[in-house]
Amino acid sequence: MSVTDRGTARDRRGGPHGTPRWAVALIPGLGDLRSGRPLTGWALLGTWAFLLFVLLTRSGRVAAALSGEVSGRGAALALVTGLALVWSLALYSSGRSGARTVRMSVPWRGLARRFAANRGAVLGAFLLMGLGWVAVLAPILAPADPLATGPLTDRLQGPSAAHLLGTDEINRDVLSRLLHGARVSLGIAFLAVALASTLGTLLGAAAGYLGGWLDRALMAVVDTVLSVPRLVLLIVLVGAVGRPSLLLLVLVLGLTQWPQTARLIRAEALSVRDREFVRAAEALGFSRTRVLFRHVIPNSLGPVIVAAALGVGNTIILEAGLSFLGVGVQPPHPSWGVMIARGREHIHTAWWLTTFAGLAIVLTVIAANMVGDGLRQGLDPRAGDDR
Amino acid sequence: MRRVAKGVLYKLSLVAGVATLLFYAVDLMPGDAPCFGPGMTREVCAQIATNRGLDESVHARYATWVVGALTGDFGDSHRQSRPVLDLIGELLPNTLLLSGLALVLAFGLGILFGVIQATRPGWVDGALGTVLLFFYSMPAFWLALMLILVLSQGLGLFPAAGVTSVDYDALSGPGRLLDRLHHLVLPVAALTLVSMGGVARYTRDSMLEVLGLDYIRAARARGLSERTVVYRHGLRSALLPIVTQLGLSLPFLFSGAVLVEAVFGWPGMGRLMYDSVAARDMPVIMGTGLMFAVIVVLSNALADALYALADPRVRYERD
Amino acid sequence: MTAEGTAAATPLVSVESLTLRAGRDPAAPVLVDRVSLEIAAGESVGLVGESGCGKTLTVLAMAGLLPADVSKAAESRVLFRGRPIEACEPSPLGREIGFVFQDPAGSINPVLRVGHQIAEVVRTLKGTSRSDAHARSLELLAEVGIADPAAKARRFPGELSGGERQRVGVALALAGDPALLIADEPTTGVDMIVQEQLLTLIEGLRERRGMALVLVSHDLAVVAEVCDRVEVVYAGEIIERGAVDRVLTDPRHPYTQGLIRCLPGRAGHGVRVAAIPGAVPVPGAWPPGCRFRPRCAHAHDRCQASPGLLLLPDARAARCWLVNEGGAP
Repeated sequence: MSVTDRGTARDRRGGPHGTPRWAVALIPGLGDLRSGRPLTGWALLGTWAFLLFVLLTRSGRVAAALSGEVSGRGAALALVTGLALVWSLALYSSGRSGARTVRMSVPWRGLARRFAANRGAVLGAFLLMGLGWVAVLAPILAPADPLATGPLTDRLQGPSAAHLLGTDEINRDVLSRLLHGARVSLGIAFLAVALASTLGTLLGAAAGYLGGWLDRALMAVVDTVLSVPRLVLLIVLVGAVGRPSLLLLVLVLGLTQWPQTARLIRAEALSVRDREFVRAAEALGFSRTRVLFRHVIPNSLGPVIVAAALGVGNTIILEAGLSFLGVGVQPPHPSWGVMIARGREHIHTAWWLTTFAGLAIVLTVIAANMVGDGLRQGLDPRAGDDR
Repeated sequence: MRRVAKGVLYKLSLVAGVATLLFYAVDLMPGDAPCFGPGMTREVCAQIATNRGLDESVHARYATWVVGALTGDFGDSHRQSRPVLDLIGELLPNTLLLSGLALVLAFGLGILFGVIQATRPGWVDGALGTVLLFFYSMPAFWLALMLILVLSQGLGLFPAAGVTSVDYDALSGPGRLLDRLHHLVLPVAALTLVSMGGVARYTRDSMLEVLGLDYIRAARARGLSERTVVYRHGLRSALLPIVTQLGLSLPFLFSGAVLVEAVFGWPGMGRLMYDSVAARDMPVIMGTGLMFAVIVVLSNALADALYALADPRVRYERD
Repeated sequence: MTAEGTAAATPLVSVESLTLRAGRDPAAPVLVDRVSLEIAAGESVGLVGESGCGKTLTVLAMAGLLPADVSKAAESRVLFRGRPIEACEPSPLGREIGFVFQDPAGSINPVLRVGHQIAEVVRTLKGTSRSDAHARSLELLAEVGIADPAAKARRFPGELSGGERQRVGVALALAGDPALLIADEPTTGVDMIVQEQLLTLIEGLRERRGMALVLVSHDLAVVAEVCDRVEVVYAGEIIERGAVDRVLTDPRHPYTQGLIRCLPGRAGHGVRVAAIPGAVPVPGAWPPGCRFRPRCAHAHDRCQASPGLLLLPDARAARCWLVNEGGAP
């Protein structure tokens, strides 16, 4: 951004017209909104409003959690620090005279612009962010303990004011279980995808850039893993254990996904390898490791990001499938897949058990897919179009 | 010729790789063969383990299995004491019927919707895209349950489980066929609906890319009708990458089929696989896993061959 | 006035004040600025100019083939035989207007056999049977000078040479026996010998069939060889028009003079080919007044205002103040 651009941004924020200066200073995001960064603005404003709302309406619960009287200390801490962080960030940036400028290299700037212009993608990103906060704050948001059973004489209650989404077969509050389920499902999905992306990027880029026997061996492994339907592989890996831990689930989900990432980034690295800046770096005598990390990987990351976003949705569906079969998340952990599996036995009498858990999955996966699509179109203006 | 031989060899090595992967993966996993039921004392369990060769090293067991597999003997199921190949032969047709129908329908409908999206930009494209994304984002097994909830339980239109009705044997020839089809509707619908979104999106993108190419504009300029341009010239080129997609989407479809089979109590490979894993029925796990791999590898090879047949550019550039 | 008289007076194509913009927005950059020209039946006209000056867009508009991201101003009219081209039913594309594209590799479907593609067009335009269309496609291939048409018809475009591909492109354009052939840089990407052959072919076809021809080229020599009349285009405007031999011998616009000096034949041995300094300004960055001013050796204060297209005797015209002062500078 040039000097003149900064000047205009400064002139526009907190000027004599429009929103008063104190509001801009006090409410995070307003400054960004006024200086033409709606995405950052709404994200900050939305997060701030949501967190503040939760804090105000559930202040007793937060205080109790912080003092250790009830569970959810981590969630309460996250709420307080999150709020403090968003607020101080806004205060800090409004205190500085110039607008905050995010320095991005040219291709990423184009991606950000096209992503911001894609309504679906932005909606998906906000949804995903909201779901993330729901997962983090589940213990504070949930009206009841997800594991606390009520009297069995009164089980399988339909949706009502007391239990918005009804109760399950041992009279636990479905809404509370759903909110806690977000932690399990999102947590597993994000960790597994992070593992797969890291592993896939490193191995795929190394294979594509270095070539030779490493490439051949790695691609043979990749092709082998991709020859088995992933769910079948997962059932074999996890089913052998019987009752897998959450960590093991993350591991197997991540370890069965990296080949796809590796294949994508390898193709990309193969084309980057012959570009001039890579050749130039090699000619300067930089080590191959340095070229790999400084030039090849950063310039091959596009498809990885897309695959990661789409992978989150895919992983959530797979985890739910495993849990549905009983080889995934183990009860009493409230996982969406487990809830569907349990609800299935009562589908004739209690539709709400399966329906809401499934809708939670659909909502999350749609959000992830919309983000993925937005990234895909943002990275490759030709893919899809903005007609 | 040499290229083909090399390709076949590579595909075979993939299948061998899958076998090795599965065998060692199951062995590496902690946990023992389940030992429960009446009369299962520690001694009996130990005896069973010895009978199954479990006291040998994993490499020895793997070698035994490989020798057997190469001679066409995949062993007997521990659980059912029947040859693995018999079990697979019995259940594979059910799975192929389910997945095959869903595959055909998902690609048929997906391509149709994708073309409609590509040729009608604006609200038609947007609305169809949203609906398809909705289904695409669903777990197949949940959609299956919802279909049961609404169409089977609510409206009583279709049976919720099994391959045939109880009175199947009493039915006439056409009645039997109808009964089978009736049972197929819901599982196939669930699989088709979740799979077609991906195909439609792929078709749409491919179609839009092709329709923007010079030779499509040129075809219009030569006076060809819009229908000829879109379907004969556009779709033909756009479908080429989709052929490859056909092979690639099979693993995805099988994953869905395993779960949908579980929901509908469909006696297929998915259930066989699941039951045998729960029981650590090693020969069956290996047999089914390998069967899936063979189908996937074969269909990928088939897709490659189809692509080469359909795209003249691949053909003459190879010469 | 008799019907025949009207038909003779009506030009085949007339373009009236054609203005094209890069986008729907009325403020979008102008790509073609108030171009008017007429093509009479049987006439051959060349459009000459450097790349980016709008000549391709002009002929695309002439055929009603504008890309979706280019919009035509409301007052612009393209008439075919006196009627707006959009209103012609059935569309004259293919039937009356044959279009030969710049890049034969990109403009012919790579996954269909060439014979099939020609026959398909014949069948659509002529409504003939499958076997007749096939026979006709072989005749067309022979007409465009492809040896062994029966064998070549079974090939895919990728299996033909560049020159053969462009001949197929011409055959495709001829399939409907059009009254007007528009060829947009038909000799791009082929070597000099093939270029010569293609130009001879197009010239011969025009004479034999009595078609009108619009040839777009950046090369004045190409146009001089094939066409009777030339329209010189610069920065979205026509800056000179007239009979080819007159324009070549007596160019009135300094830009045309520059183009002629660039012709290889004119430069003697050892004499440097006189290039025009600078480059064509991009759309949206056209200077006010005469657009050639920044590159013109005769630029003067009055050039701050555009002279407009000044009409000269013998159906000639030029967009330069010097014209009024009688003759070339």
